[in-house]
Amino acid sequence: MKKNLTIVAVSFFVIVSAIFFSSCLKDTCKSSYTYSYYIPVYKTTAEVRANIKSNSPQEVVNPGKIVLLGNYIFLNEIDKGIHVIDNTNPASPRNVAFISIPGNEDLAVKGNTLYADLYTDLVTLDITDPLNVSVKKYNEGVFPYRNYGNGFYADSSKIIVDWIKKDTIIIQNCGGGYAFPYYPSAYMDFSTVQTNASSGISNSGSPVGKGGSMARFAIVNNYLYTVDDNNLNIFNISNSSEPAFLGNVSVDYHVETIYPFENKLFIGSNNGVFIYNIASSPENPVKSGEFTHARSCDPVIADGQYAFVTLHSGTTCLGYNNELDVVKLNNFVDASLVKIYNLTSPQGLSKDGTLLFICDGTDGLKIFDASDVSALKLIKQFSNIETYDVIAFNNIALVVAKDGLYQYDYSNENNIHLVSKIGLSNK
Amino acid sequence: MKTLIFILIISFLINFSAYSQKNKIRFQSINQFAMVGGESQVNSAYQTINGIRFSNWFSGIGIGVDNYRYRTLPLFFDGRWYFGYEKRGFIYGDIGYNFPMKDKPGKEIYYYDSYHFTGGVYTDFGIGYQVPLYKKSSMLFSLGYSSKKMTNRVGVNTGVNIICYNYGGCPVSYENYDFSFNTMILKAGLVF
Repeated sequence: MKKNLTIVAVSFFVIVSAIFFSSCLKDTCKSSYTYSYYIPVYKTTAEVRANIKSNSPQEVVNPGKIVLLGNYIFLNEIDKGIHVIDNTNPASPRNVAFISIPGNEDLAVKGNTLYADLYTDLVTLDITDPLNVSVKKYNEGVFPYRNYGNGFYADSSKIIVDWIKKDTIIIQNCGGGYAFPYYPSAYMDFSTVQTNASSGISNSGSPVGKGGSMARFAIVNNYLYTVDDNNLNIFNISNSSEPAFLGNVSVDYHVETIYPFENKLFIGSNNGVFIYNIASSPENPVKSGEFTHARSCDPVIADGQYAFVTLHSGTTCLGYNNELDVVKLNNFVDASLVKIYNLTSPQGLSKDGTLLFICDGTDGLKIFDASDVSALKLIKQFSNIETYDVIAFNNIALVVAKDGLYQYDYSNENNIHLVSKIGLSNK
Repeated sequence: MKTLIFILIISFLINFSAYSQKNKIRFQSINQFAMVGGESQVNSAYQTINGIRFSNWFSGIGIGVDNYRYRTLPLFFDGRWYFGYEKRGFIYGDIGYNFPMKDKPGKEIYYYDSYHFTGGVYTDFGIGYQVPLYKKSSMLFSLGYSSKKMTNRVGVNTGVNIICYNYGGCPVSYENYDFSFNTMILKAGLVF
């Protein structure tokens, strides 16, 4: 009996003690947040314009869109300018000059004239001598859809030419031991003009640079077409050095790419592909057909009968599809889906003859025999690179990858091989 | 060389056995269920401690599960000193490392943030009472203060910028949360 009483007494004592003392104890939590923010480096408009010329070549750091014309490759360095690469010998391309154009993401070339965006402006350059380019005109404020994230407003009287990255650590109590991520206000370069490069078709007059499927600038005859987040913008370039902004046409939300083919403009948006007819009135493109798909990023190319649309998930495009859609154009009026091919993370694509080149993200470059679009055959894959966009032209496939610019010879489809690579700087 | 080591081990075990019988050293297993209470909640824990009892002392290695806030697996050294009538009272102290049992590292993709827990120091000390049951088995109760530390590295996708779009990978920001959970721990268990 005494033994049992002892057990009960001890038990009672410890339980009461536990209840009493536990309320006195506190959990603690300290959070340390490491984040980077960017401080803009400004220059005056005069300073920036004085530097838009052929400067000494710079290393490729962050390649964007690309245009191929004659023996030259014009490669965008995102937000910095354009590398001029002499590709006379594809086995040994030479980086010969750099045109400094702050805020540049898109470009198109026709004859001896290069058109590029400079943040909200369009700059027209004479590239007769690529080593000594000169500015012909600025069309100011024609690309107004340029902004920055997280509440940052740029000094509108100057031009941002660079961003300086700063790393910061914040240590604070997170209270009660509960973890709530802290989101600081960082100045990130946040552009709604986000995709790459320019396409080429047969044009009257001067030759037009051939661009990739991620293009947002396209030239058809005497017109330069550009897309921004919502609109198709039209410029008359009859006088190549004096582009005239004619106006714009509302297309869709989240427009990404433009691809010209046979007096048609194929415009890719998050929601689908829109076909605009420019045959009868190139100054007033008229929508003639569309093909909608699941929300995703979707570069598009076309030939006479079919359009090839790659959808990839993630990033700003949302969506969950990673596939190639082959669409029958049906006279460009009533497009219909032929077949879907599952891929890893397809982005840019290009077609030359029966060969279809697809940049499949981390899966590298895939080359298909597209003789039968309902039964594509993979004939070659270069899987050791992370690819973004490709131009297949004249037996050379020019591939923009995360670590450089590659060129593949596909003159013999049984022996497609790498001929050169321009690597990136590790800056 | 191997033969020599084998002979040394056998000799040690024979001598230790003889010494143990003479000095009443014996193996003991302590198995406990616990209620852990702190600022945030009351939850459960389990422990098994196995070691050697010698005179007033016990020393062993313990492992358990602690469900307070984030489930962890503490691995610790346990030492205790017995006192009082029939050496039924005791004070104890544990120190060790608690391993997190919740983790999701390296999953930074769009719309899917990551967390990565790492463990930290585990301590527990207190006082208890042991009631003999049958032969060498006993029931024990104890009340103590326990603290466990751990860190959670949370990866948050920062969303949109040009690199993110071009290369299919958005930058991820990381935030470290250093937790210190302080609790009262009330245990009941059996000793064999």
